[in-house]
Amino acid sequence: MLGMQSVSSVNTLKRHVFLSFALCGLAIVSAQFAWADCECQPGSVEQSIRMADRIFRGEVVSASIASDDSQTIEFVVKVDDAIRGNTERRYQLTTALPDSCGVSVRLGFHDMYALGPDETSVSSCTGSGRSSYMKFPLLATAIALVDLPVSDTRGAQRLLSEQFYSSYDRATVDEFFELVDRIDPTGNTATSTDDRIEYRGIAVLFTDGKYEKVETL
Amino acid sequence: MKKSKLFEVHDRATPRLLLVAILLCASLAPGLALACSCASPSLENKYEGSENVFTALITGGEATSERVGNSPKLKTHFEVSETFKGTIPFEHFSSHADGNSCGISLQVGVEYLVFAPDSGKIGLCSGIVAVSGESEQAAAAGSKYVDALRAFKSGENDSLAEPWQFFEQQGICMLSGRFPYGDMRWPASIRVTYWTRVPDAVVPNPDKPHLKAGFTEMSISVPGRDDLTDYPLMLTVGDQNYTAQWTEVEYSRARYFVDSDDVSNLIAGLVDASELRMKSAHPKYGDVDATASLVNSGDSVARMRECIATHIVE
Repeated sequence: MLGMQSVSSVNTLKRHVFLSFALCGLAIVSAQFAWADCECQPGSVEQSIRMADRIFRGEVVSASIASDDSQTIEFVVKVDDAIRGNTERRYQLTTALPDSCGVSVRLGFHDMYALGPDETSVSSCTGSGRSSYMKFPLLATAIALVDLPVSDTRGAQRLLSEQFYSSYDRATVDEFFELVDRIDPTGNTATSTDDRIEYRGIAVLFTDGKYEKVETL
Repeated sequence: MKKSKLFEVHDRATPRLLLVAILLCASLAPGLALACSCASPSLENKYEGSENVFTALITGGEATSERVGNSPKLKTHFEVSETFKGTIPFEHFSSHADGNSCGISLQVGVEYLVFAPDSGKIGLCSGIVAVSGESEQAAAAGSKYVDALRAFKSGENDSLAEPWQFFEQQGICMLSGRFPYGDMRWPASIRVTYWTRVPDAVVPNPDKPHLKAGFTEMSISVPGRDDLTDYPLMLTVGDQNYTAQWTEVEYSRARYFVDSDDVSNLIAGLVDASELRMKSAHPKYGDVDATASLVNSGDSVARMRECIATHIVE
């Protein structure tokens, strides 16, 4: 009996592993499709993030297709995490339909939104919605880093120490700082050598191609 | 960023990144799978098991104050586009947004093929598929199910066979089909892949040293048969027979491969055949005897042949 249970649990585990790969494959394929079908101008997300005066995470609490043109979705986001600027508790936003680069509007989902001055319309090409996360998984951290005062090296060290793990390889951190360079409104850029990356008074150190620690300079 | 050695680092890191991605998937997804593990019923089973089958555009909705874990319960509004079964006696879908607990939040502005009970309660395991939206290829795949339902409803087809799918992207033409096998929750599957070019990320692949542009591979996966080893699977399409060699057991599934040279003839045979039969006689563990219906395969098989012809590698 015990043997049968063991075989059964092994088979169940195998099925879960198989399902996991299937799910991952599906997620990866879906993500590729989602991004591939909406063609944004290169750099449009980074430019919008630079220009945005309010960036926040929030939950979609209501939505409807606009009755006047049927081409626009009106939706309300309840803010649960302000990332940049003075944000209100709720925003009424609009976006295009999904096949016209509108953001994915799903009730109850928490996504990030970036708004320029007086802007209430968002698109997946302007840093809002799930597709920006797919393309830039560390976007929120990059925004938080560039928004810190240049002199706050301790804050930058703390932020990155909390975000980076020893399993992060060099390529992942390189990509993060390439994004930081593109959204930094002050024009500061990171400099890279074999075992370190320096940016605004901090140094990210690597050992054997893996992230080791962040130091202030 | 000053890129002293950055690009060199990226090139060397690509295989490692892939490995990290796979390991990350393997480590994260079991949690998801354990949290919400759905069976994968056939189109016919979903149709038979649902009181209402229809396509609908999601027009909006509200998150209510009631919650499931950290996620709100949802009322999702829709407009019916086409009804295949039932009277749809509800005005909105009831669900919640927590995918880990099998909840689902449908995307506003997207049309879905919906399988729902008379209560209007839906979830991740309802088998709902998008038939429009930002992903043209995913929508095309979903539309194949709608086409199959239309053909069944009009009487053109007398069964709801699983539609075959065709994809072309990133250097491959792919034809895939799935079919029920015994009483397994997971279907058996067939996949034919033609490599128009081998992506950099795949080369060198020590497990597939044969992989090169112009190579065709066909794999057949039979669930729950990790007892089948070494015995080949005999395939019959029309009056032609082919042999699929047993190669491995992977995740409780017996896997078979057909020689590349045979695959193009086999694909050509699929055009006019109504079914693909698979048989294996194992002296100890019993037979495999399965049939993949080709009733809803026509367009996908034609596109697969066209894709291969377009990208033929001499």
